[in-house]
Amino acid sequence: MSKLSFRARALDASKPLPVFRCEDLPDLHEYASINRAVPQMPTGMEKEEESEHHLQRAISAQQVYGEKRDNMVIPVPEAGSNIAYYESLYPGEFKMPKQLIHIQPFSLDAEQPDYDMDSEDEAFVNKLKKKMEITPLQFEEMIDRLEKGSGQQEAKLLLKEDDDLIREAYEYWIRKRTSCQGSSLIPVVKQEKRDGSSTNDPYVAFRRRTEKMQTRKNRKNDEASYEKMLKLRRDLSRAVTILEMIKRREKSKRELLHLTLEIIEKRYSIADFGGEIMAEVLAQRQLLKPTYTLPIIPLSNSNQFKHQDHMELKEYRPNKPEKTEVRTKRKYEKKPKVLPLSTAAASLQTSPAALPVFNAKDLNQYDFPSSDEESFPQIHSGSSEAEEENDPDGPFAFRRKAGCHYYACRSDQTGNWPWCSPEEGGLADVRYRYCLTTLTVPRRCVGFARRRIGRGGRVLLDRAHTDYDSVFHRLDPEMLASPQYSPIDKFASTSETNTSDRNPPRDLSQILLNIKSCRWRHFRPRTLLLYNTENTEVSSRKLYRGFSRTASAQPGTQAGGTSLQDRSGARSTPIVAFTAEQYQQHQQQLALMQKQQLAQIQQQQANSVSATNSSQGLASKTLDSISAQFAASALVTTEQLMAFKAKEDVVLGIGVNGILQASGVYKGLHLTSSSPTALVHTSQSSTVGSTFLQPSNNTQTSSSQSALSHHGTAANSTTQVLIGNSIRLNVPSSVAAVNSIATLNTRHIPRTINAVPASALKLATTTNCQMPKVTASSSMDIVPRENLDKDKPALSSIADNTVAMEVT
Amino acid sequence: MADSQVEIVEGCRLPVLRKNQENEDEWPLAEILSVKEITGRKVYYVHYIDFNKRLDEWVTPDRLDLKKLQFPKKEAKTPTKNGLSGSRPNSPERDVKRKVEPVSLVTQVSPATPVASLPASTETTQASVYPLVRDAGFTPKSAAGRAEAREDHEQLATLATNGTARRLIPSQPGRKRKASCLGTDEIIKVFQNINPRCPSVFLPPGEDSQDSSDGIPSAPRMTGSLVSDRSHDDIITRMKNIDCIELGRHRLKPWYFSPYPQELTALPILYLCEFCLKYLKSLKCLQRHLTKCNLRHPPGNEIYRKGTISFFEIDGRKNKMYSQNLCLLAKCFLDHKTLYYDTDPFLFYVMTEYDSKGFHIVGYFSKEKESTEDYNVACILTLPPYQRRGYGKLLIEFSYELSKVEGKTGTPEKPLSDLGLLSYRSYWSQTILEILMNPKSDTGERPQITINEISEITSVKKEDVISTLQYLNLINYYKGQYILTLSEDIVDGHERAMQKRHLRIDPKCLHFTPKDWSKRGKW
Repeated sequence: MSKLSFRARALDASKPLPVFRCEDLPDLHEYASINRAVPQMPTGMEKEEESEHHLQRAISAQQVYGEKRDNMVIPVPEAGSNIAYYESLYPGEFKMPKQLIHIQPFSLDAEQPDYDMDSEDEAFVNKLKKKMEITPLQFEEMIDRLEKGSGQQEAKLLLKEDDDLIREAYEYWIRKRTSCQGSSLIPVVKQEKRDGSSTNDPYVAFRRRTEKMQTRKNRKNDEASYEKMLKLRRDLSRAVTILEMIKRREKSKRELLHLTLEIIEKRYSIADFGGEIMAEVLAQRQLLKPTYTLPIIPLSNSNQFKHQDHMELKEYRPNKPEKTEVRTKRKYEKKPKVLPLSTAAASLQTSPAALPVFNAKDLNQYDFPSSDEESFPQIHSGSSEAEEENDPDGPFAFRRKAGCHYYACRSDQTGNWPWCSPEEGGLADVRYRYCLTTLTVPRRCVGFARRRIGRGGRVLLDRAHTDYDSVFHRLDPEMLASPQYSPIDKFASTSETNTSDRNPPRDLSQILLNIKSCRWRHFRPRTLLLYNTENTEVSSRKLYRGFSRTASAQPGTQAGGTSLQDRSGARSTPIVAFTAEQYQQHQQQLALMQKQQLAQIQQQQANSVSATNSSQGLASKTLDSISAQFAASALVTTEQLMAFKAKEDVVLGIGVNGILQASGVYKGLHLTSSSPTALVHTSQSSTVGSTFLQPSNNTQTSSSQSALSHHGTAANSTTQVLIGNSIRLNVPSSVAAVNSIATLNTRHIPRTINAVPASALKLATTTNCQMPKVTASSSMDIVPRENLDKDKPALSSIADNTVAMEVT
Repeated sequence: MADSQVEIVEGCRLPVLRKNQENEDEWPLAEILSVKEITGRKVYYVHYIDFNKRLDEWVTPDRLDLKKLQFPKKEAKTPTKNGLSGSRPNSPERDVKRKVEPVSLVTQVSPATPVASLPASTETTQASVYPLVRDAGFTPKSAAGRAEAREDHEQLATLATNGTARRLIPSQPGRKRKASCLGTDEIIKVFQNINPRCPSVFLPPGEDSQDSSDGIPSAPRMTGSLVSDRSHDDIITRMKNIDCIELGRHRLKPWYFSPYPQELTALPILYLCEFCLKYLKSLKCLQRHLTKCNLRHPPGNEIYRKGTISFFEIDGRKNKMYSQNLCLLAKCFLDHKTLYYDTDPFLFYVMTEYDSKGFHIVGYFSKEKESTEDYNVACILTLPPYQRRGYGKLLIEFSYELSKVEGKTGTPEKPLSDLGLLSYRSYWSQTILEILMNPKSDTGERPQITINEISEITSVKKEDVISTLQYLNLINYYKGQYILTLSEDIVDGHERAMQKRHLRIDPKCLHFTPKDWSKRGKW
């Protein structure tokens, strides 16, 4: 019989298998030759272990002998038994209960300390026992609390025993704890770490199970496919997100296209063929940037002003380019930051050529940004910069601005600043000479100082050292017949440098006398209330009221001492930032107002808007009303305040205040000081900012007394109006620039607000425009609260009007 | 033998003297896993190749046969760096899958064949295996080295048993392939058989090997209590860390690593409270603890009592402290047990023996509250002092009694240990033979029975029934059908064994109501 071989077939578990005794089947061995074995079942052991010597020996022994032989068992490490001290260790008997033992869950957690005393502890406790009452259990309790109270101080608090005991136990515990480098005196199994770094630590056990999907049993690939599905879902959602973003981007692009079209149309309608208005707008846009980047930080100190005058000048001047420069990032990299020196005026006057008034590229970059959106974020960038911490100057810190050209200071001529002596090319304006100065807060006389307007509209006090400083300091401010003191200049700080004063006065009484008899000028920050009461007095002359002339003031000294009085510092309400929404709202508001006003302008003044520069000038005036309003509102809130509705305006105004004001104020100063300076200034501003060329022309043509800053912004506003609300409006900037009028408004608004909103405003501001801006600038820092309070209702009524306008 | 000339480093292999059960000297080949210095004298932690890890020990240099020292092969992974190497390879299945091509084509000697196997054939297989295995790291020099090594092997092989000879192949992949006891075809079949049956035991190779090769630590699966995947092993877990445990009357020598707090591993003796199993660093602490611990039985419900034998049920979630302590103790004797995750999804059935001092733990088994794989036992252990006295079988029997109450068939979680396999096989054999020997043939006809019936009666899972029948060689093909035949040897052996089996579970003494854990939310 040939040996048959069949494929092994699985046994049918449901098929009955007859059971035979071998002796009943004598012919079984014949059939055994038919190799039809049932497939071998796995043993369930790891194969590697299955082949181990002792196991195999045991298995084969079993198969051979049918049972285990003693010498064939698998050997294991020996274990001893019969611990001698077992009886003493586990004393007592335990009687088996009749019933099955049933234990209540959680009943086991008797309040027993987990800590078990060791021999060392025992020695300590025994020693301690001689001094005071303590049981081992108490001790364990204490250590247990200390251990579980994690921190040492907390642990100390946990002990409730009497003091000596606590201290002893605590000391002991500390010693023991530090000597044993282990984590705990109560040995515990290592816990997993949250960060997952303990995944492979063999000593970490009993990790918490994280929730996991239950896959169907016997489908081992379920888990894998589940993971894959998860991944797929993640990927798909990512794709959706990307598409969403693309959609948004394309929408923005389309919007931009439309806006650009609109701009072009508007420009066409106002005949801005040369691109001048556009350039201005763009320049003004530049001003926007800081408006929402500046958290209001009280000025702590200002390193940059501790230098000498010419240094300050150097740092001061870049401000203007910063403000007016059309954003030309790329250009900045190409050119060296310091241009060859010439006289300030010369360089400034020639620079318009060097600095293109309007950079086509800059305009273009808003036209059709490519998909990479490289140029876009720049508009909004910088917002984070201001939030930089450890920046002592806060938002006022000097930052190099991309696209700006920074000129080196001119050693030959420190500049034609009003406080410079004529020798230095300055005006030596009497107001900026060194004079006795009294600060409001702290209320004391600081001695000789001269004022300058610094960046951000801050008033800098350059202090001069005299031999009589001590005398001055002792001067009682009250004695100096000063009518009012403004509480505003809270944050005024001074830093001194040595300057030699030429004409020292004799003694205190004489000084006082001199002051009182107005022989010496004495400057004190003033309140506006004063102005209000003497409202009839107009124009810049007011400024001089605070001064009495003295011959001793020496404007030419190279005093480096500065004192900063920052408006922002005086603000009681810190304004954090303003959101895009607020900004948007504001824009809309403004746009509405502007539109309306434009309409009015067109009605009242028969001039077509697109006609001439002069018409622009007019328009600017009307627009000023808005700015004035905003400025006023800004002012109100800056000084503190209440529930003034148009909060965003406030924020905007404030935001701008810090940096942008400076130029505006400064220009105002120039204008008022004398007409020649106005010219100088015009050239300056135009050269530096390139965009101010136009406004300055306006000033001349309109021959009004309005400040350059006004015009700059006004013109700007005009364009805005013309452009409509489609482009990003320059409201904040205009507000900022016009901020200088704020104080003016404080005077005039009470009158104006009662009138019909828009037209009245316009009227008001036209008057405003004729007001010398110097007043504004100088008094800006000195706006008294009382005044503001007066203005509040008025302003809020304005706000109401604004709202009303919106509604209609 | 001075070890001054040659430095014996981790990974070296050499014969090491050890006493066998007959107290005779033998020199099995061993691998040095670790070297440490105690008072200026070096001691070596050795693993006897082809012996279970539990016999690993620290030996003094005089027990090393330095003449036959083999240095670790360069291309072989050093055991210190990688948990995969050395004497603890992965399960062959995974390995086969990982290096599919070269491996599966090689015909292999079956190591499963009983002892008297041929060393010569082993050697030839080696030779054929080698080139296929070595790929990148194959240099002439190392080839020469291996040749020498093989000569050594041949010499050794003559005096070593088959198992040892096989293990002489130093490289891990080669040895592992050796280890798989089945030919190519069979391997594939095994896959088909095994995978649907017990997927958790042999983890999906793809995922796992990926995880380990990427170096990204992956958490082990969250079901079950045993690890078959040793990729998380490292040298620490391969070595026993506790020298001695004192538990009640007994001193236990741990067999394997257990993650007791690391500061306690340096102690000569770790003291456990006999009843709550709390670990203590000194006898004094234990004494103090016992003044506070009033437990005299495991902190659970007694669900079975007959005579002095009781079973206590402990919920791994409700009584975490005890469950963890029990697991730590059990890990000392269970190589594959994992303590990676908490004990929440397990129930612990602790078998105790009563005396006047209380209910002393004898052994235990744990069980998943819900098993997706029909496991009725996760880990099972008779403490060494009680081993080889029938308690293991009693535990197994009890586990099946629970399954009977639940009305389910069950199987122990894999992988089984050697002792586990022997115990279970023994239990299954006796249980099945009990049924076959007393056939219910009322009609006087030839008694017959289906495998399903056996499974239902015993609650032993069908596959285990078949494997037992196979193992006992009861299945025969006779006249066109499968029959079960009981040889005289089998019958006699069974009867003798049953006479010795005094300890039995009495189902009447079991007071157990299974809970439907799936309706209880979280475990």
